[in-house]
Order: sequence, then C-alpha cells, then structure tokens
Amino acid sequence: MAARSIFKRKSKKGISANDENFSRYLDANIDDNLESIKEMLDSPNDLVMRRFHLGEHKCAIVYIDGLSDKATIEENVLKNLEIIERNKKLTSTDKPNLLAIIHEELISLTSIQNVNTMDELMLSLLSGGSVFVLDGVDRVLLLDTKMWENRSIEEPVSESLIRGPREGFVENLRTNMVLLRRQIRDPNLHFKTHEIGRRSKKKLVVAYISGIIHPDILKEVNRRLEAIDTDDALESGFIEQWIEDSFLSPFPQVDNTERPDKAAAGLTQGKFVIILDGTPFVLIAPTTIGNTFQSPEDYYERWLIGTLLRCLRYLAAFITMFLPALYIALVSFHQGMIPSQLAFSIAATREGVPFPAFVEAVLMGVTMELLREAGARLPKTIGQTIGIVGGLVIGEAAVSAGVVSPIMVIVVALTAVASFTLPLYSVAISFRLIRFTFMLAAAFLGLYGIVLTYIMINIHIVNLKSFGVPYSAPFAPTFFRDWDDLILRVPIPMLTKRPEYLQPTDSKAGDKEGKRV
Amino acid sequence: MSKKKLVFLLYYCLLTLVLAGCWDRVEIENRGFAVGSAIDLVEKKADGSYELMLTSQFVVPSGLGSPVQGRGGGQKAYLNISATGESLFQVNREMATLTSQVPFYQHLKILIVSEDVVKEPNLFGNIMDLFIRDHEMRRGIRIVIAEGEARKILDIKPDNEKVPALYLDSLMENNYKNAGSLKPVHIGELQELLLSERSYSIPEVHFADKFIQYKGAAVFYGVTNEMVDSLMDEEAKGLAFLTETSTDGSIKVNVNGEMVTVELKSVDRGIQVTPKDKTDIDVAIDIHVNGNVAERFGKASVRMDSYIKKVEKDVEDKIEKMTTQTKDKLQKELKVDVIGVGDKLYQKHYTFWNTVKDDWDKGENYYSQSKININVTAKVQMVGSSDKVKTTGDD
Repeated sequence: MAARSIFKRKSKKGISANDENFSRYLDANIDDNLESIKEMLDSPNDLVMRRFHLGEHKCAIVYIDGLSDKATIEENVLKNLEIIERNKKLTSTDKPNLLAIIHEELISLTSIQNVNTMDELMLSLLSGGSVFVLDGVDRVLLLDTKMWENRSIEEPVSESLIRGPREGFVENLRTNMVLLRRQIRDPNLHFKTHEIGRRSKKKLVVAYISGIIHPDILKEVNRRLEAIDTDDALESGFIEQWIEDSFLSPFPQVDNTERPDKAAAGLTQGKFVIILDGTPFVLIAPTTIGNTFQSPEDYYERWLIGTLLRCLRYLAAFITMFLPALYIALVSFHQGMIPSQLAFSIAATREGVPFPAFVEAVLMGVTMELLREAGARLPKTIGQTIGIVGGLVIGEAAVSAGVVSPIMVIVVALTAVASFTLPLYSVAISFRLIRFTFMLAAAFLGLYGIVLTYIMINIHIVNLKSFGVPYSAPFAPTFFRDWDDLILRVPIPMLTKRPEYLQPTDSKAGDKEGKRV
Repeated sequence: MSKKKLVFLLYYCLLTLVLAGCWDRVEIENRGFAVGSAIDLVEKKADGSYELMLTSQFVVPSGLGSPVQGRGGGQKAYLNISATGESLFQVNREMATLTSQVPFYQHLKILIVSEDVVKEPNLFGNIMDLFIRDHEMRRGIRIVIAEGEARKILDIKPDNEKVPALYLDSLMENNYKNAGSLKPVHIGELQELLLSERSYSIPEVHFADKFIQYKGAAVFYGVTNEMVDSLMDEEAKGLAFLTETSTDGSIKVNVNGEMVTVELKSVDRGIQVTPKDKTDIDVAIDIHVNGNVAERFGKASVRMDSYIKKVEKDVEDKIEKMTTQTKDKLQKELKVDVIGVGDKLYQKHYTFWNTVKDDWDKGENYYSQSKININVTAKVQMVGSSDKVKTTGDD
C-alpha cells in the first residue's frame, strides 16, 4: 500500500473554470458591448467590426477576419438586411421584436443562435462565427459563418495498406464524423460531444453504436473525459494519456488510427471512438494486446494470408524484444547453447572487439535508434542520406574498425526490420524500449535474467486494463471463442460473433457486418 | 515506515542484484572450446593408483578463418594441452593454468581413450565418472578407443578439416551412415552400460601412417569394464550385423565367378531365446537384409530370377560366415555376451533369467554353453538403373 502512494497523483488544485469576464451578461447599449469585446480581445487587428444603420437602429456585425467566410456574411446577412431599409414598417418595429424578425425571417443561414452572455458570444466569435449586435437589445445573434482552411482527404501516411480504402481522417472534426457516418449508416451510431481544454475549448466527440457497446464502458469514458483538466489538448495523444487506465505503463491501452475503416470496424465490435478536433488521429478503446498485432489488411486479404501475417508479426515482436538480449545471454553466458560451428565463428569474429557483448549491443542499439529518429525528423529528401550514412558508413565501418562484430550488425539490423513490421507505431516503440530492459537483464543474469524480466512483464500485462477490459484478453482471462480472430484469422464468413471480451450487448455480428479489426 | 525509507529500501534491494550480477559471465572469445579429449595411461603406481595424462584439444577460432577472410591464414586452428595427474578434474584445472583462456567443455565432441587405460580392470568406469558427472559435459560426447597412444590421434593433419577432433567426429558420423562401421557410442549410452553388468563394444580407431581408420571394435567385459579384445575388419562387420538393428554397408560376393556388390539398405535382427535348462539354452538369431545391386562385373542379365536368387544365396552365406566367426569368437573364446542374449532372457524369460543371471557371462558362464544358431535371409530389391552395361566381355 505504501509503495503505491509513492506514485499517487498529486491532488489537483482548485482552479475555477471561468474568469469573471466570461460569465458576464450583455449590455443593451451597442457601444458598450462592442467596447467590451474589443477590450477583452485587446483590440487585435483581425477583429472586424462593421457598424451600420438599419433605419434609425444602430447595429453591427463582428467577426474575426480569416476565421469567417466573408462571402457568406455579404450574401446571406448584409444583403438581406437591406430589405429593412426599404421597408418602413420593419424599421418602426420595436427593438426586441426586430431582432426576432431578423433571426427568423431575414438572415438566410442554417444555424443562428440568440444568446445573452459574453461567454457564449466569445466562444462563437473565436471559433469563426460572426455576431450581429443590435442597439438597445441585451441579446445578440450568433451566426455560423465558419470557414477554415482545411486539408483535403488524403491517404493515411502512418498506416498505408496495399489493399484497402485510400482515405484517411483529416484535422476537421466534421469531416471526420462524415467519414465515420459514411462507413456506418446506422441510426444507432451516436456521437456525444465534449468540450476539452479550459482555454482551447476544443470539440471532442465520442462515437459509439448504442446497442452494441457495453453501457458501463460508455459511462466510464464519459466520466473520464469530464475529469480532464487541461488548458489545451493539442492532439488526441493528450486525451489518450489523460484517460488511459495506467499512464505509467509502457503499453498504450488506447489504440489510435488514421483510417476510417479501422475506426468503423472498432465501432461494430463494441468499442468506442474518440475524435478530437484538430487531429487526424482518432482513438479506439478498449483495446487489448492482441489488437496490437492486427492490421485492417488481415481482413481484406484471404484468411490464410491474414493468418500467416499475424504469425509473422508475433515472430517479429519476439525478435524485436528478445533477439539482442538472447545474443548477449548466449555470447556472454551460455556458449554451450550455440551450435559448435557457429560458436567458433562468433568467437573468431569477436576476437579483437574491445567491448563485452552487452556494450556492443547497446552501442549498436542506440545507434540504430539515433538513425531512426534522425530519419523521422528530417525532410524526406535528406532522409535518404541518413540511410546511406547509417547503413554503409556506420554499419560497415564499425565492423572494419573492429568496434563491433559482424554478427552484432546482423542482430541489430534484424531487430530494426522486425520492429518496423508491427502495425501500430506506438506499440512498436514500447517494444523497442522494453528490448533495452531485456538486454540489461541478459547482461546481468543471462537467460535467467531474460526469463525473470519476461515474467515481470507478463505480470504487468495481466494487471493492465483498458476501460475495464483486461489488456491480456482474450489470452489470459481466456475467451476461447475469441481465438478465432487472434493469432488465427478464420475465414470471414465464420467470424459471426463480436468479441466476447468486450461484452457487447448484441453479440451476433450479423450476416454482413462480420468485419472486425 | 516513511515513504523515503521505503524508497531507499527498494534501492538497496536493487543494488544487491547488481552485486550478484554477472557472476558467470565469460565472453565467448575468452572461452577455450575443448572439442576433443584424450586419456592416456602414464604409469601404474605400486599402491594401485594410476597416473593419467589428459590431453585436450582447444579450438583457436581465428585459425578457422571467417568466410570474409578466407579459410584462415597459416595459423593452426587448434591447440593441444596435456597435463598429468591422478584425478582428471584436477588435471583439468591444472590445464587452465597452461592457457590464457577458460577451458570450456560444453562443446566437447569426442573422447578418445587409450587401449592401455581400458585394459586395466575397473579403471575405465572410474575415469568416465567425471565425463558423466560434470555439468559442462554433454551426454552426446562420442567415445572411441584408440590403439596405442590416444593423444596422437589429436595431432593428425587431415586435409579437409582444420581441427582433428572435428574431423574424427564427422568421420565417425559419416562412416556409420555410409560405410557400415559400428554405431558411435555416446557417453549417455555408456552410463547405461556401466550401470548394468552387460558386456558391450565400443568403436575403435587405428592410427595408420598419418591417417586414422575408424573400424574395428573394442570388446568390453561388463563386470569389470575392461577391454578383453578388439575385433577387426570382418569380425567387426559381423558384430555390426549381430548387434545393430540397422546398418548400411556393402557385401561383395562372387556369383558364377563374377563379382557382384550388394549395397545394404536395411538390416533387421531378431533374437529368439528358448531356455530349456541352464546348460541347454537355444538361441536363434535371425538376420534379414535388404539390398540393391550396386556394382557388377560380367554381362549376364541381372533381371533373371534365378540369377537374383543366386546373389541372395551368396549374400546370405557371406553374412552367415562373418557373423558365425564373430559369434564363435565372442562366445567360445572371449566368453562375453556382447550380442545381448542376456537382455532377451531378462525381457522374455525373467524368472529363468533370475536363476542364471549370477552365472551368465561370469562364474559358470552358461552363456558360453548355449547353442546359438544364426539364420540369414537376404533380399535384393533393386538392380540399379540398368540391366546390362555391356554385351560382350572377356569371359
């Protein structure tokens, strides 16, 4: 118990969510209102205040240049308001009624709100809306004239497939929701909106199919999302780390994807999807260690190929984590386990290498990580240079100089290649990280150390949960029925049940929606 | 306990791990891989103890060469170190002081024991203890008896291999598979033989003019584990037929004055024992061989049934002659049950075995009084890819 308290979160300090200004009510005087907007934003030069008269009524349109669509304001607002000038009957109407008439009859926009607080006004203004202010009324109209620059839908970069849809999520929340709706045209596909960030006030949407997802999972994710207390969530990674069950663990307990097909498959399985405005990466949870080894392509290709690829990935994960450690253990401790001829040739190549196997392995391992990091950060055109420098200069030269043995280069190269075959980048990083732990253990205690560390990691994994679902399911709380889609991927027509470990309300996946990821 | 204390406690616990860590760590290049060992007798002391010489062959990896550098330079790929003493383990430790590396026996392939050693009663069983007991010794080590000095075998210079012990190892493996030599004996099997009082045979190598020949068998008397005699050539081949359930090899016979060589593909051996009385035990050994015609002189067609029958008959006679010769030597002259008649009695006639087991191949030696009949059947399965090679000849 005491040990747990070391890692316990520090209690949050009570900070009031809103400043005094934000909950202020609007004034009836137009000059006062405009003045306070200016004051609050510190009169930036992109703030546009267009004052005009409608008959004898003073009024204004306020918007932020660049966030709102000028053409819409001109066509659908200003032009329509000119009617008032020509119609004497309208100008003589008293002010609150005039606002209502303008709201209901004159402005031809689909979304208009009639509000009376500065708080709501500011939020709308800063998210691209424009504000219609009429003198003498303590209410304003918020017009939806949002028009942001958007990236078009492109192929997902981080998860490219040979076969599969070429569209990926974009930064725009609405577009992303559309992409999901296009995959699943079910009225039960629901979207629940949250607002994230005390200052950024970003829109976050939890998508789920009610009737499939277990209600407790939904309740839990909404509770966790409401508990998020941060200034800004720049990317869905922020959300992921806020809401995951164990944020100290090296294993991500929330899956992320750029692919609408993968997200839709998760939804039909009984998972939920979190879409954050401003990032193409959506979150899928609950997830398990088995999901780590799955790629959408497993389902798009025939079942034998899908199964083979799965097995290959398990092998790749094993190589990524264990190969350098096994090399160290065998070369430094258990030379008797190497076939004789290989032992002699390793001994021959290691002759003259000044470092023990562990130092050699760490040296090459770190070099590999450096190269990978450099390649990821550099622009694509320079990135190729890194490949040449890394592969030829460092690899070849290190061997010729006698700093590392040729076998070590093979081990490092194989490990690197294997780690890149894992479909989930975030998990691949974790595996590479754990590799160093195994190497250290192997250097201390040989195979015994590797086994000990492996047991420790297994204990950790079976303790992990993702929104109440055991992370090691369906391996450790054994759900044999779910094994048809674990290492094996049985033919699609046989995948008729949703995964049992997610406890879906409706367990039968139906005739056509057999697809699961 | 305060939180700080607990963190320190955890820290100290982790430190102990570091203290204990790496205790067995020896890098691969610091290991001296022993691949072959030879045991010779130096002298028998007056008090009955023996002074032994242990020679170990260590691989020098750089001498083996890597594929990049070509097959090594002129460097020798092995290093032989000898030391003498009574306890082989101490000799082994002494050996460590003579080399810069740590002697490492997990890759030991072959153990060569000199005839002089095994001819002393009980000594063989005693010295094998280290090779069976030590944790570095694998149960797959092959044992071979050497005529004369064993350590000379570790100094031969084969043309295709750089390390003599590895050469001998592959020689034994391949000769057994292809040339009908005796099956190599592993140290694991030897332990079984030592534990039972059964007599047995171990393959023998001969040092002949720069070459070693892997043929012949050293026959051991199970009670004292001493070598009583060695069987050569035909006798050893006969022994192979009598003891192995499967062996390869070839039999050369003359049919109608023309040479025919039959390549053996399978050998089945069965022993039937019918004990009537302690001194009247009938033993029937059935040997069934299958083979192909491998080589043949002359021009007659091999596809004639009568011809094949003749070949089969001649092969049967030849094998029978060889095995009978071996059997007679083992039963009448040496009086040791290497064939395994006793085993059959133990398996099939246990109550009878209990009455004779103390006088089987010792004491009264009922074994030598039993009647052993050998019956050989041979079958030619294939005649090769061609019927005739020539139609006219000098005959």
